[in-house]
Amino acid sequence: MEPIGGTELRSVSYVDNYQLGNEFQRLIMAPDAGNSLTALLELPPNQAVELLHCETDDLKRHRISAYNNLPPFPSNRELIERAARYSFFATDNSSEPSNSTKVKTEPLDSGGSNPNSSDPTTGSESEKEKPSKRKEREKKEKGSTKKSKTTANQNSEEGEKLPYVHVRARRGQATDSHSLAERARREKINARMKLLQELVPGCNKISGTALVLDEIINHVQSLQRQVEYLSMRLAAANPRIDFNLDSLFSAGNGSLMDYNIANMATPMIWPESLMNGDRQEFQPQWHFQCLSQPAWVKDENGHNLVNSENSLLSFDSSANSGQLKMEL
Amino acid sequence: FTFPQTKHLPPSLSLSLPLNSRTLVMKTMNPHHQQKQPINLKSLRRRFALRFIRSLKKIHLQQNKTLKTTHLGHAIRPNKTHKLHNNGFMAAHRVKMAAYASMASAVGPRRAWTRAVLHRSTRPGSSSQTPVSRAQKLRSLVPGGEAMDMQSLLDETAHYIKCLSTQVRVMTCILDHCSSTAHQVN
Repeated sequence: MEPIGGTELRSVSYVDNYQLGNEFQRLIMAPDAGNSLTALLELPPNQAVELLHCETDDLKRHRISAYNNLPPFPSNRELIERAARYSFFATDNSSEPSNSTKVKTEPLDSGGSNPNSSDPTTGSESEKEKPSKRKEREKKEKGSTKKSKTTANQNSEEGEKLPYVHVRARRGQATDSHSLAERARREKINARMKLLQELVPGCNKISGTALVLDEIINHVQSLQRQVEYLSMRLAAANPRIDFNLDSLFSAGNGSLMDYNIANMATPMIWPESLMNGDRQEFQPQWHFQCLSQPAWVKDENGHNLVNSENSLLSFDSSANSGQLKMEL
Repeated sequence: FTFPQTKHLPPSLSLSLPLNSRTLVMKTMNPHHQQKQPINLKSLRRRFALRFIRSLKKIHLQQNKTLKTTHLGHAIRPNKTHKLHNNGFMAAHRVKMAAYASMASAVGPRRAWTRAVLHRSTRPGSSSQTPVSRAQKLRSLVPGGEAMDMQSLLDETAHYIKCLSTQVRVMTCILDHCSSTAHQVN
């Protein structure tokens, strides 16, 4: 082996901190002290450290294989290679632009038990041409379940856009074709329910599909009631109005931008007030709810414009980032 | 009280309004979405406001026309019907329909619910059973929701909620502006 330089000595000492006792540390740190090891081995101190270095290499190898959560059998080198390749592909797929939206689920089974197994290197491109619907099983001896779950999520979310679904069964779940299809369908529906939850205010805390659906229905109904009420007001106010589009767009759209969402939380006094039919009574209440002001300063316009745009854009970006996260 | 002059917007203005730098930004932000375009609420607002105000003008003109003809022609019909035309529930219904139609046309035919709304004029008869389950309730609420599977129903609901909230905002702003100007005139 090559002569050991100072850096290697230092790396050896780091390694030995874990494995060997303090005595060896002292031996290595002071090789020219004429200690017992060199006396024992009757070797010059360089070669003694070499021996230690070789030993620590094996220990390193052992430790690395232990970190892979695999028993140190020689036969599992194949699996290690495949796992390495698989993780490489997992990251590779996430970084690829999904213009080529088909993602191949890599067959991780050892041996040729799966007749559909193809080369993982050519998998991502040959998969585009194979129109068959594929579902692959996962063996229990395989590595961590984390990888399989992320690929399952990735594949099922990518499968939203594809005509064919590539689904991977997770650990401990039924691998029936029917149940796989149902699970993919359920996952898609749950993804859209999450988006809806973000839309409807106050839905984040509720857990359970049925209650969330109730909230969504209530929200839509309240919005439709608001439209009806507003149209009634507008119809009543129509004869008094001078529709001047220019003035509306100069001032009206300024107020449109600055409009706050705060009065969307409508109290339930509306249906009662509709029964009254007394508009004079209601107007001060309505203006109290409204946060709009008749005087718009241009600086405020710009500032609030940014705010409302940010809130709207943040909604869209959150929805989109939510979808992006699921793809990843 | 002056009779409003009908001002026709030049077509170039209505075409240039949807063009917005935000739409370009948002499209580049999402290279993954090929089928669905993210909604640009600002341009949607403008388009809806334009169309809605135009239709409000039309309704206003219609009402004034009927009023004028009766005044001039010494109408035989009793006054009650004329009052109904102006201040009755039918006017509110017409405004409501105009609001939904203008929102649907502002979005365009790319959504299933907008297509259902735009085709509503031809088929007024709606035979829907009383909703039993939650999904059926949602289907009865969202236009065109009867013949949709659950996934697309949820998609359409999300888009519908966004557009409805925009609609409500614009309508309140128009109302506020109109009521404020009315107070100023009086």
